Amino acid sequence: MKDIYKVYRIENGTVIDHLPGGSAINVLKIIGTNSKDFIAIGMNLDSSKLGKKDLIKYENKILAKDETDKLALLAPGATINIIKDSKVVEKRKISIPTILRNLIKCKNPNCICNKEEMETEFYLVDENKKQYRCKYCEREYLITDDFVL
Amino acid sequence: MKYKGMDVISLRDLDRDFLDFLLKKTKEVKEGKWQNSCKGMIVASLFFEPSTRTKLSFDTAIAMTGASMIGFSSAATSSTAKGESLSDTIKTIDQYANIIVMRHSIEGAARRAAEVANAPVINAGDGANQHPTQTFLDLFTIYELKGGIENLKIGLMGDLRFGRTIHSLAMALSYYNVELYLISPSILQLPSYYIDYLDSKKIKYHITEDFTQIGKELDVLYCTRIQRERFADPVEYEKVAGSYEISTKNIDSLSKDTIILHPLPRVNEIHSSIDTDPRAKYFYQAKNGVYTRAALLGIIAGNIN
Repeated sequence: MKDIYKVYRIENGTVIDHLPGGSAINVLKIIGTNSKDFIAIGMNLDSSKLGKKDLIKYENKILAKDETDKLALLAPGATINIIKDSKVVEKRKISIPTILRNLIKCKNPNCICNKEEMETEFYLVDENKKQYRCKYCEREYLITDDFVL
Repeated sequence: MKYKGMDVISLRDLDRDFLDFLLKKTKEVKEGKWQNSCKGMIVASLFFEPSTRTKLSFDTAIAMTGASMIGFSSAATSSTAKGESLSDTIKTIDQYANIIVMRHSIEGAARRAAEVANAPVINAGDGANQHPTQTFLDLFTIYELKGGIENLKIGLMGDLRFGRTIHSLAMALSYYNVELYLISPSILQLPSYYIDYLDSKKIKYHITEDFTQIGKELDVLYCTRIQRERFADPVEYEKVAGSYEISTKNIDSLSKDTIILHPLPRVNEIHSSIDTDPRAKYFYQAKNGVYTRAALLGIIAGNIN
């Protein structure tokens, strides 16, 4: 708890905790910073589980499940807490998304989504392997950090 | 009417019901039924990449259906040469045509075209990805010559790793209860995700490098070309290429009822002396491309039902 207060305590909003140390910036790229309210980022905090961990707090913003599920690609072990009136009202688990819209880039240079201004879309093929198929060129990939747009 | 206006982009989007319907209707078209099924319609034939068989086969099919055709046969004669995006080219042609047929060297181009066009889009090949109408004609030829597809033993031979016709055909055959023999040099075996796909569909398959050992088992032997450029070492190519050539020396390892198919063009994989053998059906197969495509156009137009 001590580490959390280093970052700033929020009364209402979403706390994403137990992100792997150093991953917060990539997580923000995925979840976005589309909030007018305060967003606090803590990086490389001491963690008994992870050694070093990152955390992100969105004040006054309740992230939807499909938004936090996007974390399954980068930080499947992250925990999501929804805070209301300074109390945790929901501890949310991350499920791997069945569709990734405009989240990752196709690695096939000859895919149309790398040739035109357009959104990318990938469909989950194998949940355990985190394997997705590009909607356009139909190639399948095991998703790693370097796929992030 | 169920399939009126549908896009035909990838085998993945289709199901057994559609394939059965298409096979049945292709047979009827071949028997002379459903003439002029697209009369009064305009079909855009957009070949951004050169093609001989597919383009001429589509052109013939379009003529058979009574439709008029517009289009081009290379990107150089389209606005793409001026830097226009694919989406804009398609949105424009969509204003003129009732059905769009397109071939493109970029993978996913047909899927993208289908997203931006109101007219149905038929994929006539998108790079190394899909070529569904080739698969339809392959399937129809097997269906016609073998009286059905269920319970057949089918050999897929040659470049199973990169050959898109093989990938699409394997996917289509997996809708039926068939047994596959995957015949290729080890470095050109079917990619693991297609093997996984066959597993998920519970298709029985055997992996082998030599067709002569299992030739008598086969109802169909579907050959494709092994391209020299796939081998880093030309010596390695020379070593394996001969084992995948059907000639008078090894044709007797097939049964008298095994039909030999090939998407064409062939290079060395079937010797021309085999062409007169009654089992050689690849030119017959090419002709079926016209009937299959004519049936497909009529079905999409909503006039073959």
